[in-house]
Amino acid sequence: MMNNDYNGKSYTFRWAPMTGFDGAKFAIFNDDGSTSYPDWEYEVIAAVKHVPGGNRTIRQSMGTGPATVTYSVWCDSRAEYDKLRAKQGVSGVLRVIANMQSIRGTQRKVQNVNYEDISNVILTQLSGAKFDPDGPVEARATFMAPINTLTGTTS
Amino acid sequence: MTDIVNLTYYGAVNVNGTAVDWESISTSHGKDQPIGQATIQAIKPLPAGVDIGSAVQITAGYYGGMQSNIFRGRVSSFQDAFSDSGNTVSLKCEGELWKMKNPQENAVNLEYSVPTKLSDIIRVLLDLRSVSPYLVDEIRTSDLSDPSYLYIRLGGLLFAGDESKIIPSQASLLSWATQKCELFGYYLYDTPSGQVRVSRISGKPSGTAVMTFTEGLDIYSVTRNSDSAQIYNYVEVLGAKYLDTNAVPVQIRSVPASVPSNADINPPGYRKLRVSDNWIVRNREANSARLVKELDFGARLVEESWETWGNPDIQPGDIISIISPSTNPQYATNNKRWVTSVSHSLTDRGWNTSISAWAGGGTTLPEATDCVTQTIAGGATFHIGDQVRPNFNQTNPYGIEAQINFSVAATYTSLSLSGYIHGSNSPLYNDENGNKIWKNLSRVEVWQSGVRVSSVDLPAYYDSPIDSYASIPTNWVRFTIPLAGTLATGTGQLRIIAGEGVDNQEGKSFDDFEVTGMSVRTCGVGQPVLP
Repeated sequence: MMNNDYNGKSYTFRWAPMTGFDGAKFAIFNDDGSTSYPDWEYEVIAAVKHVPGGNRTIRQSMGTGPATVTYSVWCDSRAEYDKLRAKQGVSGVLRVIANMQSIRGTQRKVQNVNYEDISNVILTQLSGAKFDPDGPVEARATFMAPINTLTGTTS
Repeated sequence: MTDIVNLTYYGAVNVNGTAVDWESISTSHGKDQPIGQATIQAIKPLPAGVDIGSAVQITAGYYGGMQSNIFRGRVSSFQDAFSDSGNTVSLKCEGELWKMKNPQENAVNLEYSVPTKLSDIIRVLLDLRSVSPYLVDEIRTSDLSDPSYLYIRLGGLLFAGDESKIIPSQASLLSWATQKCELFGYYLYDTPSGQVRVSRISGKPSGTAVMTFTEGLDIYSVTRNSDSAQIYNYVEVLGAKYLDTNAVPVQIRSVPASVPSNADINPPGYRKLRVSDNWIVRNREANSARLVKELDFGARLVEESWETWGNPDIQPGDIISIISPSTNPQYATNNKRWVTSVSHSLTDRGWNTSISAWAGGGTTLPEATDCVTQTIAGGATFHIGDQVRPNFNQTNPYGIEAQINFSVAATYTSLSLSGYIHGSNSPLYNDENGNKIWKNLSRVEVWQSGVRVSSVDLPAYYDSPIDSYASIPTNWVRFTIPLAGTLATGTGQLRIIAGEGVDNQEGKSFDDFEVTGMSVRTCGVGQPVLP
């Protein structure tokens, strides 16, 4: 566990220096000071129609939308942020600390930390960047992944 | 207690056997739309090789439930698009019957030399264009309770001319076939299942409904249209017009004996529909076509259309029931319909099926008598000529001319004289009296108001000096001759006149012959009693 106080704000991270997306490294933090990750969300798409003259409603399930998640990320340097920014719209591997979210990826241990590599992830948006003259950049990164709701995997 | 029907549906588009991702699908099939249509809004990239002509199959269904084709055909056109909405392609598709659309052009005409079952002709045309699969019902006369419920046969009458037996190479096979089927209440159309059908969609359906749709249970919305614009309760069907073997004009025709008044179109209470087709060469088919139109157009058009959730199993031509008290007060007893069209829509708003259905509300009317036969002179025997002939039925001659009155109906299309005869113009037959010159042949003239309207020579028949003509019809010949000219309503007169010969040695002489059992047949006189 790491605590950084920066510009009067306190950031709490789990120590996981290899967290990142497609080679661009960052740390994931929570504004509320907790160390849990927000989880992926997906929409079950359905058309719902009422049958007039009765009490019947027809609900037609039309499958599941892609899973999305938005992380608050901390890039150690402007260079790391630039790398991440260049990955917008790119499909790649998201590496996060293992067992911290619902998608089941490939687990691997690096520098004594258990990570989970999630493939087929797209960085759809990078927003709210806050730059510091000393280098670190804080931003919000939104990822999208296909999800098999039965297996919890992205394939 | 509320009820939630939770369904998970899928729609699969295959082009050339490969799955295509899609955004929306719409399909439509119907009895009045022979070629099924589909539009697929697809997401690029498409599988390699997709082009105009690619085979398309669309299947829809529910996981764990019914699933069927909702379209089968080919890509007929496509439109690529690139915009903020992405790179998409819209595939327009047409059903299997597209193969029937174009004429043969340089190919030979299709000729039917004998009256042929219409269902067999349709099968041949479908095979000619390799349409598959198809199911062509036997096309029969309209009244199923009629013991003479028989196959419809068209064309092929030798005397009726090419337009009655030849499908011209320039004709669209589809247009030809659909038009002929519709004459008899049958339709040729693509179905969502992919099978091409010819089936009867006429009158009130009498079979078992394949499905019942009920307000409050499975109908999202329903409309019921009642329309007087399509009412035709006085139907005249005209078939081929030709000269028969006796050169008598024949006009195949069927009209009702009387037309009951229809309050929806009063005054005058009736509206006439004239149907004309040269391929109709027998009265049976003309009458059947008339009965079909009376069933289907004799009363106001009532058509229901409704939307339900996706149902892949309903086909045009199916019999269904619709229970909708809000739109049809007589729903309890009057709910069976023919499905006339089916369309599917699969979008992000779900899978919905729209159905239209109809039933003919008219009744068939008895046929008017179109031909009237009146016996002339009580069927008496006339010996025309000037000689005493012991072997004739009438030994002594009546005279060299007989004048016989008959009545003329208000309108007619043909007039003919029939009876038994012997010996008329026998010199031509017997080749006798070589030195005699025949100034006039024996003939029948038609007169009215003192004016000769027409004249026709009698055929030449054998005149035996020894055979006895006493017992009719032994040794007599049955004859029919056309009576040309146009007569006004009233009284006409037949003049049967002996031929006149001049002999160099014997002077003037006359042909001797006998006619008996004469009758005049007037056709085209059928006129319904109108309101």
